[in-house]
Amino acid sequence: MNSKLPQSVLLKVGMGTCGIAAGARAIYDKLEEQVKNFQNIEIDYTSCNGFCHLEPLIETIIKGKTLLLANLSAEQIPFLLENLTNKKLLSSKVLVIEKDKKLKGQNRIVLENCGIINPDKLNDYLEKDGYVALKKVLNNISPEEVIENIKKSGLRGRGGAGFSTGIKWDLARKAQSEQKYVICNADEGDPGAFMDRAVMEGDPHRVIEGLIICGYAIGASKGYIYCRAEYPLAIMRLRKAIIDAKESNLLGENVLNSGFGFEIIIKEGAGAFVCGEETALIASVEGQRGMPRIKPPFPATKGLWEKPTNINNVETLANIPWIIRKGADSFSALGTEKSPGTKVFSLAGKIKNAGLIEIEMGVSLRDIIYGIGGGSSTNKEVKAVQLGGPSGGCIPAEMFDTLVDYESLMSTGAIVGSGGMVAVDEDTCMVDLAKYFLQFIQSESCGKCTFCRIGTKRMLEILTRMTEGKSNMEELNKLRALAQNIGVASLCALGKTAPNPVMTTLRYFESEYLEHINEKKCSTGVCKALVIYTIDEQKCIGCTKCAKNCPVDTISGSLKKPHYIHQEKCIKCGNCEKVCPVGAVSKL
Amino acid sequence: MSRVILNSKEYFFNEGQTILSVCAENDIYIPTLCHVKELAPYGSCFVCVVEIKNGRAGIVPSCSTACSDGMIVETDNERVKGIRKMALELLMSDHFGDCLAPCMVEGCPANINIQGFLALEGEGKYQEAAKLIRQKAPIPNILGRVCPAPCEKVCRRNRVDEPISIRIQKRYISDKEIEQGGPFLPAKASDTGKVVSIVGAGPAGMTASYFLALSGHRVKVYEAHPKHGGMTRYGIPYYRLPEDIIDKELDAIIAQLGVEILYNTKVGKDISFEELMESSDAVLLANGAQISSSMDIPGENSSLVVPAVKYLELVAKHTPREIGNETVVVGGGHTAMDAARTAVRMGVKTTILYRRSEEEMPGKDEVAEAIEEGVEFQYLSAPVKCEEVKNKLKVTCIKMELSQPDASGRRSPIPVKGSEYELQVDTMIMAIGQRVDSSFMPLDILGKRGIPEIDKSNMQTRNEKVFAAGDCVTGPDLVVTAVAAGRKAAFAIDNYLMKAVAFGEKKLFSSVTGELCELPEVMFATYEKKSRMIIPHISIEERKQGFNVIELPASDEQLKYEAERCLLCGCVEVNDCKLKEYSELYDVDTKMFQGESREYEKDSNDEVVLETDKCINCASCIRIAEANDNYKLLGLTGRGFSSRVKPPFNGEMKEVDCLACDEIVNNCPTAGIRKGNKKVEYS
Ligand SMILES: Cc1cc2nc3c(=O)[nH]c(=O)nc-3n(C[C@H](O)[C@H](O)[C@H](O)COP(=O)(O)O)c2cc1C
Ligand code: SF4
Ligand code: SF4
Ligand code: SF4
Repeated sequence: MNSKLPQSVLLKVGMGTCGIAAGARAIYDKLEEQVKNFQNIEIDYTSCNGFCHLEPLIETIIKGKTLLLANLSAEQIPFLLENLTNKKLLSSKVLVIEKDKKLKGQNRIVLENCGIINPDKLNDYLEKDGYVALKKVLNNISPEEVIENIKKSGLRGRGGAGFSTGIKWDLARKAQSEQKYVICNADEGDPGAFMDRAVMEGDPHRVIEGLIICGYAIGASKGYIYCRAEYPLAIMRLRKAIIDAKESNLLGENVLNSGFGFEIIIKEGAGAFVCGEETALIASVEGQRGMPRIKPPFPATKGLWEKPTNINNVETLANIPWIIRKGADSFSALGTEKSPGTKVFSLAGKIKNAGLIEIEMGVSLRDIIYGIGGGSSTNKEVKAVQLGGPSGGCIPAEMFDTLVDYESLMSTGAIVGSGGMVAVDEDTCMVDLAKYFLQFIQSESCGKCTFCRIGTKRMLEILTRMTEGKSNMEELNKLRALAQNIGVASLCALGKTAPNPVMTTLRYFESEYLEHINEKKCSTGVCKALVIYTIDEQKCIGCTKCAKNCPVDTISGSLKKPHYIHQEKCIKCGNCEKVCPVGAVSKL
Repeated sequence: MSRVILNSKEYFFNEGQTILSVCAENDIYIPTLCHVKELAPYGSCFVCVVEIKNGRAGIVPSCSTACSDGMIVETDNERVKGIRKMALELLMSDHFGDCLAPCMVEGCPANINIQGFLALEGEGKYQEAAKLIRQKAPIPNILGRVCPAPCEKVCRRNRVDEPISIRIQKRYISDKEIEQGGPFLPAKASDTGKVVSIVGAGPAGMTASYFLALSGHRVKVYEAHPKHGGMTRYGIPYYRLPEDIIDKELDAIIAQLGVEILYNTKVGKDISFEELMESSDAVLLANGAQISSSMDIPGENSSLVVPAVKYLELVAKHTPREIGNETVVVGGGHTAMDAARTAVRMGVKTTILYRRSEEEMPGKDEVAEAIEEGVEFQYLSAPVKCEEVKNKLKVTCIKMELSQPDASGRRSPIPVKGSEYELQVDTMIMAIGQRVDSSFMPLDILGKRGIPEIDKSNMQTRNEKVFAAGDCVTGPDLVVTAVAAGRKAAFAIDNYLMKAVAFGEKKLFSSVTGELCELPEVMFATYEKKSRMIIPHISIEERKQGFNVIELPASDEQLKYEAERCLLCGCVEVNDCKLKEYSELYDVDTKMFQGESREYEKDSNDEVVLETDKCINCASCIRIAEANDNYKLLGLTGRGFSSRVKPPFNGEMKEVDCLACDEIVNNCPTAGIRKGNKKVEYS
C-alpha cells in the first residue's frame, strides 16, 4: 500500500514530559513505522501545548485549520493515517478538536511556540523570529536602553514575588564589579506547577535568548540555568539548544561578532523547594547547603560568589525576546496597568480542561475556571481555587469575580505566585487542604529560622489534631497567633508565606474549622478519623458481606441478623459501605 | 551623618550600621541568640526582632537590618515583645533540658537548690551549703529532720537505683555548721523603719520573720505559747526533732536578726487585732491550724477522749497527761503517727485505727518504724460511738471498705453494714485533723470556709495590709510548705512596704524534660549502681524506751558518698544560658507549644560536650569554626524540623578538631556545645 494524500500533511506529536507520560512515545514509534506507507505525510514532534487532559495528541493542519487529534492510542494510528483528510470519518473514531476553539480566552506570548515548533531544531525557532531580539539588541541597542525598555514594558517577575524586572536589572547593571552573573531560576518547586518545564521543553531557545539579553543588559558574561534534576527532558533540550546556539555563534566568546561574550552553564538542583529561593539557590550553585540567607544584601549587589547577580524566573526571561521584538508598548498594552502582559497558569484539580493556559492579566477567575477551564470535572460544584501553591491562598467561589492580577489577588490573601491554580470541589475538606500544604512546607523548610522550623511544625500538629477531632478553640487561637507571627518573623519567603493557605481557608471557610473543632465532624468525609461508619439495623439483611470484607474484623453479627460495627478497631477504610448490597452502611 | 529614631529618640549612625549595633552602642536592650558580634548576621533565632514604623514598615531582625536616614524603629513595643516571646516559646518547645533539677522545681515546695547544696556538701563546704539552703528556707536543721521529702519521690536517681537521701543532708549540713559555731545568718539590710507584725512563731511565721528582718524591716512576732516553733515544737515529738535544735535554729533568727518576739501573747485575748493593725505597717497571719477537729460521734466529749495536738503539746511541755495502759489513736496522718509513737514511748499499749487501708497511709517509713516500736494497726475501721464505762472507754467501731476510685483517683471508705465491733481501752486519742483558730480575725479577710482567703500569688488577703501564710490558710500541711509560704509572703510584704505594690515571687523558671517515669532509659544507662546511704540510728530497744533522737550523725565520708550519688540533673549552663535568661525575662511558658521534640542526645570528646538535645540551631559554633578556617568541626545535617548540628558526615565528636574551642563554647547561647569539665557555680 502506498497511498498519496491530496496535499502534504505534517503530523506533530506532542512530546513534552506530560505527553510522553501519557504514551506519546508509542504513538510516535507507531507513526514512524506506518508513515512509510504514505508518500506525503511527514512526522515530527513538538512539546507540550498545554492541553494536558488531551494527551497523547497530534497536532496537524488540514485545509488551513489546526486540528488536535486527542487522547490517542497507538492502535488508532493506522486508522488515523488512512482517514486523515476525511474529518467526518476521522471524528467517528478519534477525538478531533479545533485548536482555535481550544485556545479561546487565551493569549499566548510565552507559549507562542510551545506545541508548535520542534524544540530540538534551532531552525524552527529561527523561523519564528527566534534570536531576532538578540540581534536587534546587539546591533543597535545599548544595555541601558534595553533596561529602559524592560522598565517601560512594566514586566514583573513571574517567579512569585512580582518585582519589576527592569528595576532589578538596573540595580545589577549599576553594581560595580568586573564579574557579574545572571541566573535563570528553573527550580519550579511548587507541587503541581509545570509552567517553566513546559517552556524549557517546548521552546528552550527562547529562554536562552532571554538569558543572553539579560546578561548583555547587566554586563554579565556568564549565565546559569538552575534546573531541578527531576526535569531531565528540559535539561536535555536545553543542553542541545546551548550546543546549537554555540555552533551558530549565538552564544560564546563573541556573540554574533558583536564583541559581547556570553556562556551558559546548566546546574542541576536536587529539587528542594527552598532552593528556588534566590539566596538559597545561590548557595546551592556555590556547592553549599541550600539555605537562604538574610537580605539585604540582595543578589544584585552581592550574589553568586559575592558578585552582582541577577536572578530571573524562566517565564520572566521567556517574555524578554517578545518585548524586544514587538516593543515595550505592545507588552504594556496587554493586561492591566499595574500588571501588564500575560501569565501562564497550570490548571489542575477538579477541573475539566486541566493543563497549561496563558491569559492576559486582568481576566476574572470565573472566566478561567468556567470559561477556559470548563468548570468542574466532577458532579460537585467548584468550591474554591487555590492559587500559588503552598505559598498561596484559597479563593472561594463567591469571589470568582476577582481579577487575576498582582494587586487584586493580593487583596484576597492569595497570590499570583508562580502560577499553580488548583480547583477544589465540595468534596474537598479545607482543613485537610491547608494541612496538606503545610505538610509540604514542613518537609521543605530548610530549618534555619525558628518560626519556620518549629512554628510551621506546631501549626501542622494543631491542624492534624483538628482533622482527628482532638483539638479545641484554644488551639485555634494558637494556630492564628502562629500564622500571624510566622508570616512576619521568618527569614525567607518560604516561611513568610507558609501560613497563607491556613490564613485564607480560615478567613473564607472558618465554619469548616469550627465543625472539626467543636462538633468533631468533617462534612466532606475526608478526615477519616472523624468519620463513623454505622449499620442501620432496619436495613441490614444480615448477608455478612461487610463482616467478611472488614480488614480488621471489627464487624460482628451472624447470618440473617443485623450486623454491628465495633468502633474502637475501625480503621475507616469504608469497605463495608462499598460492599453492602442494600446500602445499610452509612457514614456519619 | 544620618539619623535614626529609636523608641522616639534620635540617634546617629554610620552608613551600613545595623539597628542592633546602633542599639548596642546606645544601651538599648535587644536580646539575640544567634548573632555573633564579629560575624556576618545569620538570621536564625528571630529573637532580635524590632518594628520599623515608616517606609518599608514591619517586623525585621535588627541584627541584619541596616539603618536608613529617618527610619523610625520601636525596639520594645507589645508586638515586638509578643514575637520574641513566641520565638522563645517555640525554641523551648523543641528543647530537651532541665535548667534546674526536678527535685528543686517539682519536688521541693520551697524550691531549695538541692543539687547545689549536695554539690557543696560533697566538697565539704558545709557553711556554703547551709547558706544556699537558707536562700529558700532558713531552718535547714528542722527540715532535715521532719520533712517527708517530696523531693526524693521525683529524684532522678530513682531510675538508677534509689533516690538520694536528700532530706537528712540538710540536717547534717546544719549540724556541721553548728559544730563550726553556726548557724551563720547573712547580714541584714539597713533599717527601713517599717514594722511588720506576725501572728505565730511557727515555721511560716519564723521564715517570714527571717526574710523580712533581712530586708531591714522591724519584725514583731506574737506567740500564744511560751516558746517558738509552733507545731514543730508542740506537734512533733522530740525523738524526731529535739528541743535544742529548734532553739538553736530559731533563736539564731531572733538574736542575729533582731526579731522581737512576745511569748504567751494570744492575739484576740492579750492584744486585739486592731491594736496590731494600728501599730504595724503590715500584718502577717501565721497562726497555723492547732485546734483538733472533732469526729462528730456520740461520747466524743468524754474526758477519756484526748485531742492528739493537746496530748503532744503536754508531752512537749514536759507535763504529760496520763492516758492509762491502753489507748487507741484514731487517724492515719503524721499527727496520728507522732501521737501513737509518743504513747508507746510512755509505756502505753497503742493501736492505730485508720479508716482506709495501709496503701493510703501518707508516711510509709513512719509506719514501718511505728510497727518496730510496737504500735498496732487496725486498717479499714472507724469509731462510731464511745461510752465511759467504769473509768474505761468502750469504743464501738465499724469496718470499712473502699469505693472504686473517683475522678481524682481517690477511694473513699464506706461503712460495711452490721460489721460493728467493740474495743475496751483506757483512752482514745483523736488525730483526724486540725482546724484554724480565726476567731480573732476580722470577717472581711475570711473566705467561705471561715479561714483567711488570699491571693496565692502574693499571700495578700482582701485587706491589702494583711497577709496570711502557712497552715492557717491551707489547713494542716507540711512544714516545708509553710516555709515556702512564709518566704513568699515576706517577699510580697517587702514589695508592699517598699514599692507600694505587693508583687509576689516570680515562679521558678525551668525547661522540663519530663516526668520521671517517661524519661528514656539511655539517660540513666551509664551510671553505676550505688545504694543509698544508711542513716545511722539508735536500736529499736532504745527507741522504745524513751525520747532519744532516733537518727544519729554521719561521718564526712558518708556525707560525701551520698552527695556524690547525685546525678546533677540541672543544666550545667544554667547561669550562662541566654535562652533561659530571655525566657525568664519574657515570661515564657515552656508548655505553650507542645509537640514533637528533640530527645536526649549527647556526644562528647575530651574537651567538649555537644548537647544536641539543647541546641537551637543558631550555627554560631559552625560559623565561628569556619571563621577560624576550621571546616571540620561541625555542620548542619538533615532538613527542617529535624535538622541538627553535627560533626561532619554525621560523625562523632571524638573525630573532630576542636580549634577555637573557647570562643565557640562561650558564644553558644545554650548548653548546646560546652566544655566537658564545666561545673555550675552555686551561689
Ligand atoms: C521558597 C521559595 C521558592 C521559590 N521557588 C522559585 C522557583 O521555583 N522558581 C522561581 O522562578 N522563583 C522561585 N522563587 C522566587 C525567587 O526567590 C525569586 O524571587 C525569583 O526567582 C526571581 O525571579 P523573577 O523576578 O523573575 O520572578 C521562590 C521563592 C521562595 C521563597
Ligand atoms: S540549655 Fe539553657 S534553657 Fe536549656 S536546660 Fe540548660 S539552662 Fe535551661
Ligand atoms: S539526682 Fe540530684 S539533682 Fe537529680 S533529682 Fe536527685 S537530688 Fe536532684
Ligand atoms: S551548639 Fe552550636 S548551633 Fe547549637 S546552640 Fe550552641 S552554638 Fe548554636
